[in-house]
Amino acid sequence: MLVETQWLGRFQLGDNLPLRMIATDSNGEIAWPTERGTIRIYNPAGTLLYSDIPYVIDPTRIGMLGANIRLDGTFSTYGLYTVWLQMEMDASAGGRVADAVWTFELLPGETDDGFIHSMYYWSRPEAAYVIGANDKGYVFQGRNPIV
Amino acid sequence: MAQIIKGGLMPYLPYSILRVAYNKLLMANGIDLMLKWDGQSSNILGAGVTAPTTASTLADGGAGSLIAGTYYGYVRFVDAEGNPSNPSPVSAGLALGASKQISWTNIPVTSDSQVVKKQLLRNTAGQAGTFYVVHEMTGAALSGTTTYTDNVTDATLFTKEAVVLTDSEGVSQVTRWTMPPRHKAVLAQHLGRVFAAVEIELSKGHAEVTNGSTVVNIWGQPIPWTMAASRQLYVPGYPAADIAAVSTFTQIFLSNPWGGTTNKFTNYAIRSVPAYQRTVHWSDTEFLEGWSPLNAVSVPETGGEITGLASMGSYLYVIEDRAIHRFSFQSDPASGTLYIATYRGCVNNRCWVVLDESIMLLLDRKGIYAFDGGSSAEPISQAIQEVFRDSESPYRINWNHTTYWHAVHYHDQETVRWFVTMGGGKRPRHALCYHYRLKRWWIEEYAIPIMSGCAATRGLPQVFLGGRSNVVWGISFDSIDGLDAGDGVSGSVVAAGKYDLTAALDFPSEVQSCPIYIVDGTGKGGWNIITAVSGKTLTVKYPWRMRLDTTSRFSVGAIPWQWEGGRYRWVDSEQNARREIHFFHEPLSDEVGAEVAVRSDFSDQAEIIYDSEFPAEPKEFFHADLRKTEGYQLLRIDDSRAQRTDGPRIVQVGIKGFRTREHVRIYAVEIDGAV
Repeated sequence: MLVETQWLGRFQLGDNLPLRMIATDSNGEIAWPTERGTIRIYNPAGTLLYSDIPYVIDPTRIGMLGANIRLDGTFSTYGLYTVWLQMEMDASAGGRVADAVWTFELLPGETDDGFIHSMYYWSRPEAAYVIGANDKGYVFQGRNPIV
Repeated sequence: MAQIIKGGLMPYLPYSILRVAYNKLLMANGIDLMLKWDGQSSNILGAGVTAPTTASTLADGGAGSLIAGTYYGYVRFVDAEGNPSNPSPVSAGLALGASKQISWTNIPVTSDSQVVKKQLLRNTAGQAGTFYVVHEMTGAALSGTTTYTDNVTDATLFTKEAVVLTDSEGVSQVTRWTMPPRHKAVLAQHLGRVFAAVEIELSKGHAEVTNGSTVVNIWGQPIPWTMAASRQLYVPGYPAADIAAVSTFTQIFLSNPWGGTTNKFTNYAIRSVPAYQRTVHWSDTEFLEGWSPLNAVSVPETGGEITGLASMGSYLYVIEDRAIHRFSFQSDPASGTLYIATYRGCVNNRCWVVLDESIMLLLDRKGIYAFDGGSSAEPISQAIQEVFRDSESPYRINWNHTTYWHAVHYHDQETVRWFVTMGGGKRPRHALCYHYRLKRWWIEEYAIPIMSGCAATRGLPQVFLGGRSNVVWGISFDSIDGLDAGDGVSGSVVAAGKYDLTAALDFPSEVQSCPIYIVDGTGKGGWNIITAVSGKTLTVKYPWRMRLDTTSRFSVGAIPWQWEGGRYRWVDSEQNARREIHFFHEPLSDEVGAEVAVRSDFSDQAEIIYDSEFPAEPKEFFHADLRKTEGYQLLRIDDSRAQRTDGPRIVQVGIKGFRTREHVRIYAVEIDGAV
């Protein structure tokens, strides 16, 4: 079965990859899948790099599933990636597999630390510090010594 | 270069960071352990010390020096700063005869790397309110030694460190050193104590619940292993279910089997039990890492959510999304009172600032207002109220994503900036800026999300903004800090493709990750993010919306600006009347210039202007060359309108341009012929 590939865009490490899919049943009506789906991401070499479960994005919209995948250090190669999301619909009626395929390009230029979401300035006798926390779950400190 | 001092934390929850002593920062996010840092060590540690969970055993140890009496024993752990844990469960009482010694066994052990001492506490004969440190163990004994022979007489014990476990009023103090609450996300300091409030709700993704099973799978929301079990699972249509434990990042165990229907895609929320949801907790005054569970007050219900804490003047303010409570107490918060100060609130704990210790500026759903600490909440955002409404304004706040909103006060500029989300973005890229002395507003837009900021207080006041990849930016440093104008950061395009641009000079490597703007020629107004630099060629993140050519001029780090004046009425005249627009500016050396647009009546379209500099090219704007040494620009648009005939009645002037290396200063804009 051919599935149309959609272009997600160009991203860098630390960005969130937004995947969105509306599931429909065999009658074309919006519906929840009958089983968990799967998300697979293949690197530019075609190797399976990442696997996860799609989840509900908007609880007010039936059948809206997807993921916000943070592009962390797992994505170590720059280039074109392929994303495949698959879900099973209407298992009781014989089963129908719904697929969505996307591609995106990973660009260099940033690290997987992501964005700094918390900061604090602390002036101490020996140095001035900026302490921060980022999207990666790290806390870091920058130090400017007092001469 | 940034140094990592802690990892493995919840990645997307903002931290509340508070300096509580000259050598201590505390950090909380409502999910992970409260953290502390002393500014010296290369690691952040958990605040508080985990207490022993088992009791020691005291037994008759044979002949010794102790007098007859009933003896009890505790064990507690102590960290390198001298912070003790709560004592262990008390041992069974030992009724000892005269001239005996005590044999301690089953002394708890620990492998906690933060613990440096293990203290054995015992009472003296005849009382059990005050205990004394009868013995300390360090080093290998922390994890290896479980026995001790106690032959310390009362006379000697009195000279040891005393630990009051029952105070003079008979109140137990054994919980005085309880570890800080993990489920509170906001910290504030007031009158020598640290206060904590604000619950975090986990609700992303969905839950899989199965009838008759205690296993619940959560997808789309990592569940931290360290999450306290005093939380409940809320599923629409069903009673709250107690959570017993966290199994993995995606699985929890309920205390009781799920009694509702099986559902593979249900909405859910994980929150603290109701008794904790509206509580404010506080620390001990001597041990700021000791948080007795008795040190808490429940905030009266108002129908809103608690969003923050603020200390201003003599009071601590408990901030909700739609109200502010004033918490008043003398020395012990337990005897304090909470009462409503105002029915305005704040959207989160990062969207308020205090000016001069007497006025707080806050942002809530109704706008931005000034709160004097009493009952007065004076709105100040009337000039930009459109952004708060569900209007057609292009600058309309997106209220669905407020987690990373924050405010920062730049004292030197007398300006407060609230970073908010606008349009479809989830992260704040726009700042509502308020000059509080001139009472002026403007909006700033940033090329990348700005999710945090802080004000520096050493030397010249400075504001730092959090970027990405651990890069911290400073406001009002040069737009390209450290690079000269001749370093190739601006110029003309030699060649361009869909994702690249080639210039005549090599680009410095420092411009990677900077924004780049097309300031003139084909593609003017376009912008992009530089992802790679290779000699004279830049690679950019997004496709250029218009194919650039050799007329295109670029500037790395340029800042586009735009000003719109008010609407004025042209004076009616049957004869050709003098109508002029002129403005005064600081002369610049940059050739980019500015554009002046004139709009009539209430039209969004600019009037066509026949610029004397380009008479054959009617445009929708007048090009102002800001290099003119006299610093003066004039646009004449003489016109007339017979009475009782149609014609332009209202005039509005707009000016826009780019700031490249120099500050653009426009001192006055005047319209002759209008009232």
